[in-house]
Amino acid sequence: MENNIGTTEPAVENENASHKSESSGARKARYGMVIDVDSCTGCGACMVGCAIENNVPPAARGADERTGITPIRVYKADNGRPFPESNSVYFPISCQQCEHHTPCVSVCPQNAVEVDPQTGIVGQIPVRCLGCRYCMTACPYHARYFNWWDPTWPAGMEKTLNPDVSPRMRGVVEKCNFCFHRLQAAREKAAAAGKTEIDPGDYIPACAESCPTSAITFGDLLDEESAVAKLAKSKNSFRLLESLGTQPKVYYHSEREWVRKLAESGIAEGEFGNG
Amino acid sequence: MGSGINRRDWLKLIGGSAVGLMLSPIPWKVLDESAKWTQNWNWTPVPPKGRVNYRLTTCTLCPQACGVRVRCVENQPVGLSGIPGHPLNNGKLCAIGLGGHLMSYHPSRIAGPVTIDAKTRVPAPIPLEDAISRISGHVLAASGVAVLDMQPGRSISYIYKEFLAGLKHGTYTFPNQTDGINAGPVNRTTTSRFKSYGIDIDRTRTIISFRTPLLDGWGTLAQSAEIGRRNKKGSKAPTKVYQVESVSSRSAGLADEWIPVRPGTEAIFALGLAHVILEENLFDRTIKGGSENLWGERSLSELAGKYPLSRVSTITGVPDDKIAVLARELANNRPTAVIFGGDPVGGPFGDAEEIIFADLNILLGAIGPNGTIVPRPDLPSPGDHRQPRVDGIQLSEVPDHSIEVLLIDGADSGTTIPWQLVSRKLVPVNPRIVSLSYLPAGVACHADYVIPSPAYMEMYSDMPTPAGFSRASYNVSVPLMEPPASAIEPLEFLKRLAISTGSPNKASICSITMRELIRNRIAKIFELHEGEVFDADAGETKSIGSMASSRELVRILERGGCWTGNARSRVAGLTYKFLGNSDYQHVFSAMEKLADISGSASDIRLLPHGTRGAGSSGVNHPMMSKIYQESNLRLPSDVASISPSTGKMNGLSDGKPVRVKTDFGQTILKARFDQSIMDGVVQVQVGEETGTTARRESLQGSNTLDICRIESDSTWKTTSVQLSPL
Repeated sequence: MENNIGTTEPAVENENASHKSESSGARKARYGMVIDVDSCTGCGACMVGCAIENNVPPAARGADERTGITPIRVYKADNGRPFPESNSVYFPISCQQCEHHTPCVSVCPQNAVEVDPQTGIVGQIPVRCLGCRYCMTACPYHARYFNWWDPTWPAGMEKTLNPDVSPRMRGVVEKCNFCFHRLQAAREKAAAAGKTEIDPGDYIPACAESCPTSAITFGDLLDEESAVAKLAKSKNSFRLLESLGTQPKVYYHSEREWVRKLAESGIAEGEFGNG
Repeated sequence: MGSGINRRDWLKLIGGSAVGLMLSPIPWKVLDESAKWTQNWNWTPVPPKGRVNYRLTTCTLCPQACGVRVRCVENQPVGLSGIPGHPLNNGKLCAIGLGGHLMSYHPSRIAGPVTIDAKTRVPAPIPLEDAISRISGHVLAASGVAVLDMQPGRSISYIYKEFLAGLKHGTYTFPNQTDGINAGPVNRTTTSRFKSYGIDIDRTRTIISFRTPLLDGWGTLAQSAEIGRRNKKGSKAPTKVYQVESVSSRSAGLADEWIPVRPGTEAIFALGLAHVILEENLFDRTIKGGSENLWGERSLSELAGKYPLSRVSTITGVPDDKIAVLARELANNRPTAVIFGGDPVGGPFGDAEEIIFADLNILLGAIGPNGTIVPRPDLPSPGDHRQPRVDGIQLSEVPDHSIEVLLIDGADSGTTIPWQLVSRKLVPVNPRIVSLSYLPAGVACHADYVIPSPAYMEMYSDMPTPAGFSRASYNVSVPLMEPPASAIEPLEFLKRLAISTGSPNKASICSITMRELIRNRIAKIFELHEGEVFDADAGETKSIGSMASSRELVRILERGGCWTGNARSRVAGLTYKFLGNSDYQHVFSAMEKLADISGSASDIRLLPHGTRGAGSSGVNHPMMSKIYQESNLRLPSDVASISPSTGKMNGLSDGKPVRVKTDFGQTILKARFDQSIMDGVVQVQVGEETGTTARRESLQGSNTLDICRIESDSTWKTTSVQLSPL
């Protein structure tokens, strides 16, 4: 794993694709997604779908792009060329679910961030979080958000909250967890049917479900027959800031070379988020 | 050696204690507990509890009529998703539709009937009976009463017509229906006489779009386009999209090729294409036999002859060889469709420009055959037995200053029109405007009375065919939540108004409920014995012929189903009249005017830019703040995007206020320098204001469209502006 720093090998290639969990007997998975940025229209459906699904409150008065909570946020980036050679691309960026040296896990003094060994999903445990925001500093993808305000909805709208997700309180950090509650629901469904494995179609995060152009492909990267595993290994798939060696489980795909090049250094050079 | 405790001992004790404490679990435990204690407040909302169930319905937030799967806890909707396989949205919803269930709790929701002071615009509550009494008084005293139906074609639309037929001077009107293709220019240039046309997008190989937000991602045609594209994945002949417009829109970015032209020169560019097609004999051979005004004097060929490629290139800024290559591509890679303009802002093309686009369609054989612009049959009405009705006319055809009382329905439905287009139809003194809406959206902001209607998911209603769809379709939206006591359905309001005004049609109007009306219409559709229905429950499609009775069709449609009519077979035998019925001189001079206006290098043009559907005209749900407030994904309406050189030339600074002034008014916006914007263009979004979920006109009384030049053909135009720093 150490030697994978700076390579473009899939995050889970060194894992044994067929190994079983010692505790449950269920197959070990590494959930991930591939986002086809050439198909992304920047419509924002993923942002809204995610917020509604995960009981993220609407923007508080005074909240902005630095203080708001958008577990998946779509950034517009461009090729840096003036009109008429300008061209743009939309990058939906959520927690990249780092497989290796997960920075937020390393720095959290409260053990409020954990990598689920069964699924590879990086989870955030709000009741443990102290609110020090060290994880936000450590995250190279700026994909973590702090609750600066109490979670409030317009009067009556709290009745529309998703019963499967607890609202987080002021003073804690939160982020995308691949809609882990949906995985739990899929497991329960499988268990009720007497199965040990979930039906892959039963576990799709809200962002992937809501994408109008089906730009987000989600699934188990260890399942070599899955669409997500094939796409992740395809020629024009890439990850953000691969040189850091965090081995994200969120991949991107573009046929455009300038887009792929942008991803190698885009965030560090501040090229994302220019509206 | 003394036994006392000296200063050093104290320091050792304190230091040792501190280190010891740090090594013990005590401070960490206290910290942990206190963190939990400070974070778990009793005002943190608790999600609803109860039995989870799913219901199916149709979205009414914009005309697209998407199928919606509603996740409920008991009777409370808590999450929405699309219905897979649905003909109109294929399992997907836009950002606005995903939060449709939040609209009932919108902070701006109108709590009860209000009357708004014409001068101060301050609303004051008014009892419903008083409001109806006053409105009926205005109706009885008026010599011109009109209903502006922002979502024409619904069953309630027929009741409006019935009510208006009982008045001496009743007018039923609706906004111009432009969504990539407008029936007007097609019918003026061909012998086809259908009321509406769609784009057979699944079979089109090439699309050239003049400013139509085809791939924008919100609203009608975008989803149709995506469905078409998905269908073609792996196809050897995928649809190729060319986007012709001055701004780097989403559609421009996602098209196979963006062709940036100078503002207002799209029709000149189309003439350049026509020039090449005619000169190189690339036009459709079927038009040779029966056509007028193609050759000779006062013809399209004469007009195109005035615009050789070198001139078109100078005017539009597009290299002449590129125009020639594109013209050949369009002609050789058929079926081709030329689409232009479109919702949400109904512009910016005038009738002469639309005639040119229609002519280009004819030259490319793109009206009638499969994969092109195809006529679409109308839906049946709810019942022929009902009282006589007035005919509907487009808003542009209503005589100016003829309306004393205007009822607006569906102002929150996603059709944006500049207020000037409405106001010019009103009498100059004391017009009365009544809006039936649950939010202060779009033109409803100008109402004197607002009668709150039920929100989406609170009312039984129907959705006719979305614009641009190539087949007739019909959907039903059912109530899933109780509306507030103060809300009154438009039909119930109309019944009370009919009684109050003593309408001769009151017995007929009062004899039916919305549910009965819609079921009557479903029965009429069933009697057509054509088409098929998508059963959302079963996830399968059935032919109407296989059904035993209309009750089965009712059951399916009331559970998120969708009826679609048969695809129209190829329309043959059309003859054409190039340049239409318009005075040829009008078209010639309109083109010359466009060519002249675009010639000035110092001219700066204002280009309002809208998104589709509710994104432009509606008040959005609060979760849209993720897009407008907590990210820069969609620019709010108080930002003027300009190129850095244009900004600096006018003394502006990035991020600072700018005064945008036209001959028709001015507004203050925030300058945003963007190097992807063409020099001499000011791009302003129509939609939400920064940091709110309200539209600009509801806050300031006007939006950017209101300072644009509006012409008699009912559309705004690209307008010259002056920019100055504040």
